[in-house]
Amino acid sequence: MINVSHKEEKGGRTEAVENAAAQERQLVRRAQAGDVPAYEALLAKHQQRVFSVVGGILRRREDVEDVAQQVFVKAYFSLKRFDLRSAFSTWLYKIAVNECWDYLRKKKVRKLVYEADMSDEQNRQLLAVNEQSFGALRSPEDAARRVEQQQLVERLLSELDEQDAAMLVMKEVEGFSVEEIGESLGINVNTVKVRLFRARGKLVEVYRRRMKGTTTSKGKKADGNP
Amino acid sequence: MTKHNESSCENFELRLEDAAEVAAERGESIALSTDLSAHVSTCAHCSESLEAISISRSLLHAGFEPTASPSPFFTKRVMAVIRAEEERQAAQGSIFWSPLQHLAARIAMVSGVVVMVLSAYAYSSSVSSTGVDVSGQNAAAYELVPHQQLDPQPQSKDEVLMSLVERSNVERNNAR
Repeated sequence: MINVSHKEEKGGRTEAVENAAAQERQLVRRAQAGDVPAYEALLAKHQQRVFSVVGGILRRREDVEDVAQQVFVKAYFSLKRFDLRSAFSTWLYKIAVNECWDYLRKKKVRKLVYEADMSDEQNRQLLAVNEQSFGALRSPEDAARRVEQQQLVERLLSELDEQDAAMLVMKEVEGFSVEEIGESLGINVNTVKVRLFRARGKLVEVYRRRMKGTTTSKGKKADGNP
Repeated sequence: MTKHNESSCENFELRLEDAAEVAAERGESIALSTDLSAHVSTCAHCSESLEAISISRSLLHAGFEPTASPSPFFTKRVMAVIRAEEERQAAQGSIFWSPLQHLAARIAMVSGVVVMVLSAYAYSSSVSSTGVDVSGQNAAAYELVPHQQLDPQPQSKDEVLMSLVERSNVERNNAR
């Protein structure tokens, strides 16, 4: 049994990371020179992550595919202007974020504006979200309920700043680290942490306000009964 | 619980966020270090913040799933769109230059005709000004007057007078 020291293991990982980065730079240079298979290789490597970035901001499947496609098309035609000073992924995620904001601007859904408050039924469904659960739903009924819950949580998120909402989803749902969020959105890491912290507080504040509203209406209903 | 102290709590807020990140990476509940746990148990603000982290995580996990993987045809779709866009750009380029190419061809043709006409005119002008006749038309003139040699043009007035005198002498001799 070979015992590998922590330092050696860490050094090995660092070397592996550097090799991967060097290989990627090579692929990018080849793609810039017009090598289409090289670009296809970059596309295959990064498409999942781009989907995650776009999904974190847009949160609608049909929009995600279209915008992700647009990201890669735009990256292809802008590739010659990429100077390799940053990682290719950083550059690509910035394109993804900008495409998302442009898409939302065009769709005019930057803020979901609802004319009426949520109904009591919707509030009750929101209350049904188990504070301890992490969404492991299995049955078709659960799937339908999940869709409704998604819509309800969307409404809560709509009361936050758009970028803060995107950061929360990217962090908690898509699994991005604080560093990755900072790179994608062009924000300092500490700023990301502070904004995430405050966005959570705001989200819970909105959630509690809804809960209070439901509790009050329940009380009134009870009072209103003959 | 103690009152919220903004300056000290700010540091703990970031540490709470770090703890949340570690929990998210491991897919576990948030675990606090000893000193952080001690602070949270005494600070109402940080205690609420920790609760907010927990509730927000639950809400988001209940509301959303991670974005699904791209379909296996996604790469092909993207490359097809890229190819179509390249062809469109190439066609747009030729559409832009085509009228100019057509105009250039016409200008070249007209220029050629003009050059030919000017050349012909320049040639005929040079022939009439020197009198050196090598054309067919002037050869016919030689045949009409075979016995009479055409004299070269006189260069000066004296030569004109001399030629008149010589001609009159020749005529007088012929008359005798």
